[in-house]
Amino acid sequence: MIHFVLLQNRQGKTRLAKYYAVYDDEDKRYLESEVFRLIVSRPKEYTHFVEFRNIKLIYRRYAGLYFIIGCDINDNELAFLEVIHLFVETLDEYFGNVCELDLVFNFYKVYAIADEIFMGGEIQETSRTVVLNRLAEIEREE
Amino acid sequence: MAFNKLRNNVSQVNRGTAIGVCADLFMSHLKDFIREIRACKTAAEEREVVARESADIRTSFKDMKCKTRDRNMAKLLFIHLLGYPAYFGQVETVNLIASSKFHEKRLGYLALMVLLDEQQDLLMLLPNTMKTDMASPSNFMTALALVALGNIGNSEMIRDLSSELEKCFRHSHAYIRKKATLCAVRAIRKDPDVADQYAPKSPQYDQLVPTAVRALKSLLLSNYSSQHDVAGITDPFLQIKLLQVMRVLGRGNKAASDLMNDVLAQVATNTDHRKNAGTAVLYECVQTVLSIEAEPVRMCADICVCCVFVCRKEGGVFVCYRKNAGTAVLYECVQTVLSIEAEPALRVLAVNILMRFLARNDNNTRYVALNLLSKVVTLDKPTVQRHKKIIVDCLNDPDISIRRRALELTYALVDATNCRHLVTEMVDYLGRADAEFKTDLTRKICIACEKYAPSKKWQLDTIIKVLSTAGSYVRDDIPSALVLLISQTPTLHLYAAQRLYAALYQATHARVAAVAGAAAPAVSGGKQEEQQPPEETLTQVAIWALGEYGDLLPTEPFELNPHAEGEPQVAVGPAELVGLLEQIIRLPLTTAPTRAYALTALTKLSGRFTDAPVLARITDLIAAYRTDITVELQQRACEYGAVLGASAGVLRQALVKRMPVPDLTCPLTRNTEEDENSFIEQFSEQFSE
Repeated sequence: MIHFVLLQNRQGKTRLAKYYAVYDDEDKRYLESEVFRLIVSRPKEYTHFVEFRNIKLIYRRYAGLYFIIGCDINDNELAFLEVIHLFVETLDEYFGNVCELDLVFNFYKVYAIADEIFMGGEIQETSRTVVLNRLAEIEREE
Repeated sequence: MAFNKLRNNVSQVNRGTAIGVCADLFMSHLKDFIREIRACKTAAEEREVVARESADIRTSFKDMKCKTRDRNMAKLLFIHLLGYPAYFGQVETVNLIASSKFHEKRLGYLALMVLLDEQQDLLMLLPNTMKTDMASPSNFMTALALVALGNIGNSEMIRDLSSELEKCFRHSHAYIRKKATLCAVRAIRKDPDVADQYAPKSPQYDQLVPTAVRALKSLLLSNYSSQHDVAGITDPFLQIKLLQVMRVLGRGNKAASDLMNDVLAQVATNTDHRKNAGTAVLYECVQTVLSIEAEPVRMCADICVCCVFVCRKEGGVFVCYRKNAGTAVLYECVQTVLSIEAEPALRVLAVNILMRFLARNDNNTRYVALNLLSKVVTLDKPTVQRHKKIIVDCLNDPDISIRRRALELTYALVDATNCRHLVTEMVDYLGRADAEFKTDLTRKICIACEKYAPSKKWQLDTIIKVLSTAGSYVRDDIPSALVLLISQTPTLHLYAAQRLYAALYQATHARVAAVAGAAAPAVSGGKQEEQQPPEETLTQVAIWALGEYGDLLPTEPFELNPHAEGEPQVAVGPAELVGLLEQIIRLPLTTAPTRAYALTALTKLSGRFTDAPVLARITDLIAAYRTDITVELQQRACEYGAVLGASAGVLRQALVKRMPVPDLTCPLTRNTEEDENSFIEQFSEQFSE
C-alpha cells in the first residue's frame, strides 16, 4: 500500500503531498524534511529505493524535482518506479512539456491528477488517456 | 523530457484552458497571490505576506455571505503547502463541500483531503452531505465523494455510508464501480470485520482462478495498445496485481496451481527483461511461483533452458545492462530462484551469474538481487554460501539500501560451519556501521553466537568484543546473556574473569587518559559527558564478573592483550584487583549505577580475600560512600558496611557467597513476553529459596 506521494524540488520545497496513511500535521512537516534530507544526499548511481522508518521510499528525479512514493516494505519496488513515470508522463501530457512552475501555479490540478491515478493507497488507473479524458470532462463540468 | 527547462518563465504559465469567467477570476487571483509569494526575497518577507493573507482569509471565512470562499480556500491550500498553519480553514472545507456549485464542492473535497486526516472529529459533520453526493445523478459528484471516502474515510464514516457505497457497486459507470471497490478495500483495511459485507458470502475463490488466468493471458497476448503500454509490456501494473492475486489463490492449493502453471511459464519466458517494467513483472512472477505449488519439473525445465540460453547467447546483455538499469540482473535472479528445485548444476550456475552481477557497480538491480537472494537462502543455503565473500563485500557499499540488504543476507547465511568467519566479519563491520544499524546488529551477532558458536570461549570473546565496540548501542538482553553464559559455564569462570579484567583495565586507562587530556585543552569534554560512555555496559558486566570470580585471578598469570605478540604476562593479586575497582569508582565520569555495581563487587570480594590490608581498603572505600549524595549509593554503602562489620559474623559468608547459577535459557533466543514474565518469576523464586 502507498503511504504517501510526495513531490519536492531540490531546495526541499514540497510541491505536492498526498497522504494515504495517518500522520498528524507536525509529523508530516517533519517527515517531509527528513525524507528530503535522506534522498537529496544520495548520489545518482545509488538505488532508487531506500528504507525509511518502517516503510520504503521509491524515488525518481526529473530535472530539479523528486517524485517520491512511500510504500510497504514488501511492495514491488520496480512497479512503483514505473508508476512514478506514469504520473510524470500524465503531467507532461496534461501541461504540455511540464515544468516546475506549472506545478506551482496549478497545484490544485496536480492534486486532481494524483487523485485520478492513486486512490486510498492503491493504483487506481494506469491509462494516461483515461485520466486525461476524465480531467477534460471535469473541467467542462465546471 | 519533462522539466528540462526550469527557467523562471512566468509568462509561460498563463496558458491554462479557459473555463468560464468565474474560474478565470479564481485562477487569476490565485496566481497573483502565488506570484507575490514567489517575489519575496527573504523568508521574513514571505512570512509577512503569508501572515497578512492568512488574516484576510480568516476574516473572510467568518463572513458567511462572502463570495470568494473558493478563491480564499485555494490560497489557503497553497499556504499550507508552503508549511504554514492552516487549521482555521478546516471548518470552511465542510461549508464548501455543502455548496451547490460544482467547482466549490470540488475545491472543498480537495481541501478536506489536504487539511484534515481521518482522526479529526470534524469528519462527523460530513456523512449527510456525502450521502447526497454519492446518490447524486451526476457521476462527477459521486466520484468526488468516493475519492474523499477512499482517501480519508475512517471506519465510522464508511459504516455510515455503506448503503450508498453498495449502490455504487452497481453503478452503470465502470469508473464509479472502480472507485467504490477501492473504498471497500479501505474499509476492510480499517476494520477486517466488515469484509463479509463487501465480499461474496461463501468463499468461492476457486472460481476466480480461471478468470485471473484468462485476464493475464489476454494481457500477454494482446497487441500493442498505446493506452496501457509501458516499455512494450501491456499494463505491467495489472499483470503484477494479477500475479499477486494468483499467489494468494494458489497457496497450498494444488488444483489452482495447476491452472496457473502455463500462464506463469508464459510470463517467465515472454516478458522482456531488459526493461524495468518487465523485470517488475518477472519479480512478481517468481514470488508467485515460489509461493504456489507450481509444477517444479516443467517450470524449471523451461526456466533452465532460458537461463542457459541467456548465459550463452545473450552474453551481450550483461555488458549493456548498465544502460537499462535493473534488467538482465533481475531476470537472472528470477531464474535463480525459479531453478531452486532444478538440477543442482544449473542451480549453481544460476547463482554464479547472480553473483557476477552483485559484484558489479550498479544500483537498483543489485538491491533487488540481494533482496531475492535472501529469499533463495532459506531454500538453498549451500549454493549461496559459496559466494559469501561477495555478499560480505556488499557491506562496504556506499549505498545504505544495499548495506542493509547485505547485512540481512549475511545474517541469514550464518550457520555452524561458517560462524567463525561471518560473525567476525559482522563484528568488524560493527565498528564502521551506521548508528541506526548498531542495535540490531549487536543483537544479531549475539543471537548467531548463541546458536552456532563453535565454543563457549569463542562466544565469550565475541560478545566482549561487541560490547567494547558498540557498548552504548546494545539492548539490556545482551549483557544479561553474557552474564548468563559466564555463570552457566564453570570452566569459563577464570577465563572470563581474566578477559574482562583485561578489558576493564584497558577501558579504565583509556578513560583516565581521556580525563587527563580533557582537563588540559577541554575541547571534546562537553559532548562526552552528555552521552553514556560506550564501554559503560562492558564495565558493568566486567565489574559483576570480577565480583563473582575475581578471587580466581591470582591463581594464574595472564596476558592483558592476547592478540599482541610478546605482551608480558601479568599476575593480578587482590591488591591490583581492588585497586582497579577503586580507580573506576573514583573516576569522575563513572555513573551512579556503575558505582553501585562496584560497591557490590567489593563487598563480594571481601568474603573471598583474607589479606588484612586489602580488607581494610575495601572497608574504607565503602565507608566513603555512606555520605554520598546519591541515595542509592548511600543506602548500599550503609548496608554493605553493616555486612562487613564484625556484627554480621557468620551471616556475612552466606551473603557474599557466589550467586546460584540461574536455570534459564538465553534471553536472546527467548522472545515472547510470557517468557519474560517467567524469567522474573524464576528469579524471585530463587531469591525466596
